Amino acid sequence: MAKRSHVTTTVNGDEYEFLCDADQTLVNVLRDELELTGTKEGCSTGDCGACSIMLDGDLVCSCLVLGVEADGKDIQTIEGMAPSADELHPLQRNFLEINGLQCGICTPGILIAARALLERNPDPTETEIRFWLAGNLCRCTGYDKIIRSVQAAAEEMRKG
Amino acid sequence: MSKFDFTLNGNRTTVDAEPVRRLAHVLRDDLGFTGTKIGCDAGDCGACTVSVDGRQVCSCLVPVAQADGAEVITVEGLAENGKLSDLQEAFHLYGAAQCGICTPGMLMAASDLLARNDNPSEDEIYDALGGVLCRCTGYRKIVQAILHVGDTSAARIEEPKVGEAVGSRAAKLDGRQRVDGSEIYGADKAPEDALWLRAVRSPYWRATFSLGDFEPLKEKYPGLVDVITAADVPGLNGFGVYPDVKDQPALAERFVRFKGEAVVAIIGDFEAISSISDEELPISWQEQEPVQGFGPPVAENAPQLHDDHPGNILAYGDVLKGNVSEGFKSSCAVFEESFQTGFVEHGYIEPEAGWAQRIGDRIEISVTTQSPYMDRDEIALIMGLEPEKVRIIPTACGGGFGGKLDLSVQPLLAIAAWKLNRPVRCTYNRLESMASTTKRHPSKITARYGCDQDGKLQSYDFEGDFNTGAYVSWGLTVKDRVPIHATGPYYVPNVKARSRAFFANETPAGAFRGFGVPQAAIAHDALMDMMAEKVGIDPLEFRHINAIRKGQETATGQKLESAGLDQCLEALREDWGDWRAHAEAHNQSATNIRRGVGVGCMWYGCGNTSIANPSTMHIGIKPDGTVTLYSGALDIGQGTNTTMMQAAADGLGISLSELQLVWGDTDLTADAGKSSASRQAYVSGNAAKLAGEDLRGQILRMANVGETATIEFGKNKLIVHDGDTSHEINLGSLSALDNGEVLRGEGYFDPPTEPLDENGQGKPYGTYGFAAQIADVEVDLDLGTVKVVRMGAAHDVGQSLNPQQVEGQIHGGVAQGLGLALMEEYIPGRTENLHDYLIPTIGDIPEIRTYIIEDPEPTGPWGAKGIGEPALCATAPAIFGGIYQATGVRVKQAPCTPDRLRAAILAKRGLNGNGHG
Repeated sequence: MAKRSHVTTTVNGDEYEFLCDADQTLVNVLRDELELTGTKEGCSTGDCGACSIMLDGDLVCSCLVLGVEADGKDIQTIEGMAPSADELHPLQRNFLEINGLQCGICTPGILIAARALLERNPDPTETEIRFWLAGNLCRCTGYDKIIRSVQAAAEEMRKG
Repeated sequence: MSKFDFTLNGNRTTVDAEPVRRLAHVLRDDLGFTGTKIGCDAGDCGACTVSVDGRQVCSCLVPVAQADGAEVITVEGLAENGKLSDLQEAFHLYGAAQCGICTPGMLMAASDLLARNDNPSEDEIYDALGGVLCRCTGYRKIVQAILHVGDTSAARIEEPKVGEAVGSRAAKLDGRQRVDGSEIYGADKAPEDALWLRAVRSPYWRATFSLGDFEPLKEKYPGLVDVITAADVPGLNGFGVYPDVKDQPALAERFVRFKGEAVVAIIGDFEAISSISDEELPISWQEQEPVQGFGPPVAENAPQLHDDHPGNILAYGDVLKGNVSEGFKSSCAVFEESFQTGFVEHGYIEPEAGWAQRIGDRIEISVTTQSPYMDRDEIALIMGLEPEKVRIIPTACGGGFGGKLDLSVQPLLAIAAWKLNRPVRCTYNRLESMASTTKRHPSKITARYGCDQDGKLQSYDFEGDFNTGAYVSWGLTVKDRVPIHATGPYYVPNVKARSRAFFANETPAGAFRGFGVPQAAIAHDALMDMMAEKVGIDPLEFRHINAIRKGQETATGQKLESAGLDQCLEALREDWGDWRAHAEAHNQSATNIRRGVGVGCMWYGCGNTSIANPSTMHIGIKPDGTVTLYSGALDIGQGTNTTMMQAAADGLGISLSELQLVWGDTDLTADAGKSSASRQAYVSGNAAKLAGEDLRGQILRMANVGETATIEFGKNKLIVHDGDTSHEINLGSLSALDNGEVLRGEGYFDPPTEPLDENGQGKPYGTYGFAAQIADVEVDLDLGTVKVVRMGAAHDVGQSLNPQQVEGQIHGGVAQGLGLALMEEYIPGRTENLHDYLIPTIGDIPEIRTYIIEDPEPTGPWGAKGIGEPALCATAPAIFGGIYQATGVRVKQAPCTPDRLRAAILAKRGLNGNGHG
């Protein structure tokens, strides 16, 4: 039996320690060890983007990252997106208002990806939004309302 | 860091490593097991395949933590007590390793298969080895080797008798180290204290830039030792393959012309240079609109890439013979068509790599290359040094195909090692290898061919545009070669052929197996099929009627003395008839899976075009009796080390096993030119033969005996037997030359060529290779997919120096030709790694029936001509001919991908792309 590795990370600002197997993926660790099930696992092969999270500022599919690779790194997941229990992030609010989600399974990944886009580019064109979110599959919405939601949130955030 | 224990090739091994450090890096860098190769570092190529607990895995994808407690076997673990395993022995004897870079991975994948199944079928071999890419062999000899593990008697040959090495199927003399993992390639070895270098490249196709202060970066990363820029180039900041064209900067100055161009290089410890992201560098960019594709660069007022090339035109090449309009008047079948091809990537499995060190006032570079002397001279200019102050020590070359003729890591390593006075190493990753090194020229050709009612060709009018990308590279050679070869290997009385090479903000296009001839072959042979159909003559017979023959004149007015195309076609005639009939019968009852058989022909001038391109070889004898060939002809997998030894041994009259080899090092070997233009067998083969004959002549004169005498090579002495008498030469009594040798023979050969006049008339090459290939293909009409079912390949090589190596070249050329025809197109942003850029896998390459035709070339060594490039050029036309018989679609664009073919099939039925009218 291969030994388990000891990993220390920060998730949504809180420090976590966990033990994981050498072949355990980060999405697995988040969901099964840390019980942060907001991050979804749709394909386990990096195709669907449902497991998108931020790892040291990079947008990654957490199913393609090993748990041990998170050692010493900063993780941000959907659970850390809302500023408080009463308040939603503008992206989250606009997704609700404009109906940017239907079943909601892809939503955590899309929100994380969209926030990463707006941090880099506060005023993206529709084409830029479509390109940026191309790694996240949605089977319900046809994407149109997702684009509108991101545009609306971006405008709101620019106005501050 | 954690401690991990595993068994490596039977030995308990402990390493301290980050758990996620990949096993391939642990094996190579931490444990020194460099037999495992890294080709892509992304699980696409399989070169790093090892066995973990009995299963083949890509070790570049396995974190070392996952190998904890496991049993790991690498290529170094296959041989026992220095004896090759049966599998390795079979690979060696069947010629399954050419350059050898994929061989460790192939062997490990095959071991995995054989452990489960000791009598696999061909299909089972395809499945088990499907994850390991090979770019040299065309896989056929790999399959044969695996089918014959433990029963290699058919491939085992006796040591050739003295004087009979040439023409024998001698296994590679350097084959053993290619199957046991001990061969050293560009990335395998460097001094312990070598710093690492990484080039930072332009993210834009066209931009100006300025550099800021690098000091803050150095403070942030203590492991960053230095950053070199254009200002650090001691000599001329320009390189290029022609002596008078040095247009590509080693490091760009203020302006970049393509995405991937090197701007600065960062040097330091591995950790530092790999953690620094490009965005952290103080480079400010001003992006400009690039000019790309076929129209925009040559449009009026297009932004210019180079000041001295108005209109972005590099050059025109012309060949004019007879009167084409008169020729078309006497034609009854005339067809005009346009054809297009894209960028094609060499896809050698070994990325560019090497290291350099400064030794006093000299610079030494160990590097994977095809052209040590050209590298030497180019580096001398960049460094502002005399050429003698530069030493190139080639490593084994893990595939080249033209892509390792141009400089890559060499100038960066030389500048850094010189400035820092420390050894510096660099290994390109796959992405930068693909983004920054040359490609095959994209082409756009419009051509018109006419024949009379007897099927005799009358007239050919050809215009071809070739995109040479951002820099000249080999663009001038392509513009010369194309019009010379434009007609194809046929006798045509009236020819007008014009090529044009132009610049664009794209990856530089350079040398890739054929220099434009494969692109031209797609055009001429499609038109041949169309004319044959019109005049009602079988496509193969039509080519046979028109095949240029000995004594006839080419489009440049050169009278041929060796031309075996008619014999190539005759060799294929029986299979052609059977396969065509079979396809026709199949199609009578077939629904959506149709068959078709096509034929393609090619010719190829061996050697550089209309310029001196000599080779010099030496053979020396030391006082102790050691006899050594000093060969500068680089073995890039094609087997030149072996064939040069065969030629030298027979020239001298010594057995192959008594002759030693020193190769490549520019301090030790003379200039034998480049391993390109299919010139080594013909040009360097002559030089090796002449070196042997020169040394033999000296020995016979010393013994004062006649031509028929034989030489016995003994310890400290030579014994010359002449009839009943013997003469002993005591080597110790001879005065030694500067290098300690007592006897030294030299061979020099420069192919007889003449310059071309303004109409392209003259003798551009000493000789030409010829080939005909046939392809039997299966097309799925619904999907547009093409499967090549079997191929026939007949090649006139003048004289085969080593049939085993010649077959290897043919197989590998067919595989690359199949890739060109059906799947390969380099599109930046889309197909820029070995995952998305498809090259043929083991399952794509069918049975290839090879026929070696020997129509001797009077100026060739024993009649030999080249085979490297001829192997590829006829394949795409043959496949496209097959697609026509199967579908009725004439392919006019390569690659003929399923989407393109499906659209053409629907268009032919009068439907649009959705299948609706």
